[in-house]
Amino acid sequence: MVEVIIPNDMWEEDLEGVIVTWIYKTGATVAEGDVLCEVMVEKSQSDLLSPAAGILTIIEDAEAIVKRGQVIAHIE
Amino acid sequence: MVSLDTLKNCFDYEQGLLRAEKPIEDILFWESHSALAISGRDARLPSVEAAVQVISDSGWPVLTRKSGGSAFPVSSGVLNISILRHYSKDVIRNADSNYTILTDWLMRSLKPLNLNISVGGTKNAICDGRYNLMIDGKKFVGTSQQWHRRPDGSSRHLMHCSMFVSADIKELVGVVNKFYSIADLNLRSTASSDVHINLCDYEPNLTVESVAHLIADVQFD
Repeated sequence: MVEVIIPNDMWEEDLEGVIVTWIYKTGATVAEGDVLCEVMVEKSQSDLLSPAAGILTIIEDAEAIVKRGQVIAHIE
Repeated sequence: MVSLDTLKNCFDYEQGLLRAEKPIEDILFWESHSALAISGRDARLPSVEAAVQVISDSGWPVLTRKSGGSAFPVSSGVLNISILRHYSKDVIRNADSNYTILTDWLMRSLKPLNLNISVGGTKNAICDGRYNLMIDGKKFVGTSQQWHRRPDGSSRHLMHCSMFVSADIKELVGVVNKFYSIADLNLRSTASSDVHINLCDYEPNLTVESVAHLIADVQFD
């Protein structure tokens, strides 16, 4: 199992982000490098890429408030 | 100035450049017909479908954009600037450093106008953020960013700013307030047109095109 994690370099230390949209749903088959979701912090929006190929399980839904380093999904 | 008359054409063009196989670095200056750009989060508000219908029927097509922030309107008299950059894996950049580069560039470009320009947040402004440009405390430029990460660790980056040059500010703010009053069931605070300003209020001879040339003459970074 591979964790999908908000990268530590995605934004500055003290800020929180929000998951804007999941491109795939739980149970979807994804490839390494696919854009899994869009994450926004303040007025900057970033793609989050899949770290591996496999079946996606979403832990944090759209609109969830997230921090850097947080696990938001798994890929098996 | 690129010839892209509708907001949809502008967004499609930007996204095409951002996701092109070969990295493209460019600066686009554009003006659009009237439209309202909402964020992905706005698109999930409780009554968004009704709001989109009402706003569209009043002559303001509504589109969802990929950069961050909240709803912002474009129309004639609004200069939009899109900056596309490519960063290799070993280049460390973050949102704040990019905003600083962007606002520094705009400040240097507009220096010949001798205006009291500052950077910061503007209470009760539409699409507020920490990196607005203001004249005498009133917002005339809004900024946003989009990062497109690549599997090889590099990233493509789109910085966007909208500048009020000779816009009908009351109408623009009214469109945003109307959108949220319907989409968000009046839960959101109302923006005020009084905290915005046009460049033309200080320099009446300026046009969107002349301001674009003024900025384009200064090296970005």
